[in-house]
Amino acid sequence: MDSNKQIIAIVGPSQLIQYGLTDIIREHLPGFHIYNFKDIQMFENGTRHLKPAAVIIDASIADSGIKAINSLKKENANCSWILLQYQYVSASLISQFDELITIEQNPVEIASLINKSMGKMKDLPNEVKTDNLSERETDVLKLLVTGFSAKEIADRLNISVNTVISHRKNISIKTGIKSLAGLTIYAVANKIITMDSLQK
Amino acid sequence: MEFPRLIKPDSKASDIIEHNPLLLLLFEHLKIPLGIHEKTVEQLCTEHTIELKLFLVIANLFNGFNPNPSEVESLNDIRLIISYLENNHKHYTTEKFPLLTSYISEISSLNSHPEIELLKRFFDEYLDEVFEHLKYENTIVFPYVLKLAYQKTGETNTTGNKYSMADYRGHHDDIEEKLTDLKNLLIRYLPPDKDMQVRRKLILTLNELEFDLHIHSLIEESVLIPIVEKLEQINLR
Repeated sequence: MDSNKQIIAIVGPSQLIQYGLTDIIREHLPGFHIYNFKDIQMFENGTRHLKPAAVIIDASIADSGIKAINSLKKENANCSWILLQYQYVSASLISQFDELITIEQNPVEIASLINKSMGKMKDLPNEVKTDNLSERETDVLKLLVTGFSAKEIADRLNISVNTVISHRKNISIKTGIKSLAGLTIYAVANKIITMDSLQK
Repeated sequence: MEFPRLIKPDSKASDIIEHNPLLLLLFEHLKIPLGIHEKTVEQLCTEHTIELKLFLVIANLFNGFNPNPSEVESLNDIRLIISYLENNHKHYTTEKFPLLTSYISEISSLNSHPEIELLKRFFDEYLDEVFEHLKYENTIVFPYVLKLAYQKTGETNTTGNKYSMADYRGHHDDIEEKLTDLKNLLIRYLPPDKDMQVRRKLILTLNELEFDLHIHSLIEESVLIPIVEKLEQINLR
């Protein structure tokens, strides 16, 4: 086996879906090894060491398996967790996955979503999904929530505007908070800034 | 986990509610009262003069099925879609938001950390934004759609209205995003005090709202917008 090849795991009880997805990935995303598992337990036993680039979870086992999935997530932060939806799944469950594909989508769409989702994961810093911000990110956050623009922050920290924007993106990924107002509360709650430093 | 999910004309209405209780909101917004005995979806629709196809499209969205474009194109009762969305707005403004506001002020009386003040401000600003958005839909989008759908043939669009549905896409992202922020702050970051119970109530209510807003934007994006864009094209000819 070519060990440079990346792995995609498909986890779910339906053979029909397994075959369908496998075919789609083979055709549109050549160069991946595909592993099929009937349930999360078998996946857990079988692939721990394989470090798949993506895991596609069948909607019918997502709810009951979310605990196991969340603990596996911590072991391999660079893996993209994708939900395959064809039945009702709660929004809060969906939000715990990195990407959503549905059986109404055509093969090209499905393949490109899987691909996009894996690409996103690669860009992420290693300590992803913890809210431990790096020193630089903390600096950026501090200035951001006290009202400085990206340009001003770049000038102050002697970095490019693009770097500021990418820090901001990573801050949101790590904290799960996207809006500026939300990040302000995060910064106060984590003692990154004091209430006094907030004007208004 | 059970499987039968796709709602069909002969599905029993009581079954589909038991299976996905969030569908209760659909019944409410379409003004189909409960006490539905063993009636099927089709029977209820006939009884309340609701376009069956439309009911099925929306109900199945609740269950995670996106409609296919040809289904959407064949829908006739655009008035009903608009009235559904308007009732949905009313539900937010008269029930959901007041409830959330009361939970948040309860939290601020039970939790003395200074962040709670910021949370209150965050929520107030969020509400302002949402109201602004609802107002925009109620006063600009919906009248525009109705006019487009029901103006008599041959009547030209005399308003000189440059508005088009293209302006409207993607309008909801912000609203859903802030809601997620709010939940994350409550679950992960805000320091605890004596507010655990009411925080739970708030989070559960936010979950419900999040789901409903999601369906709301799905209806607008995969039902309303395609219909209107087709009407706009016809209108241009």
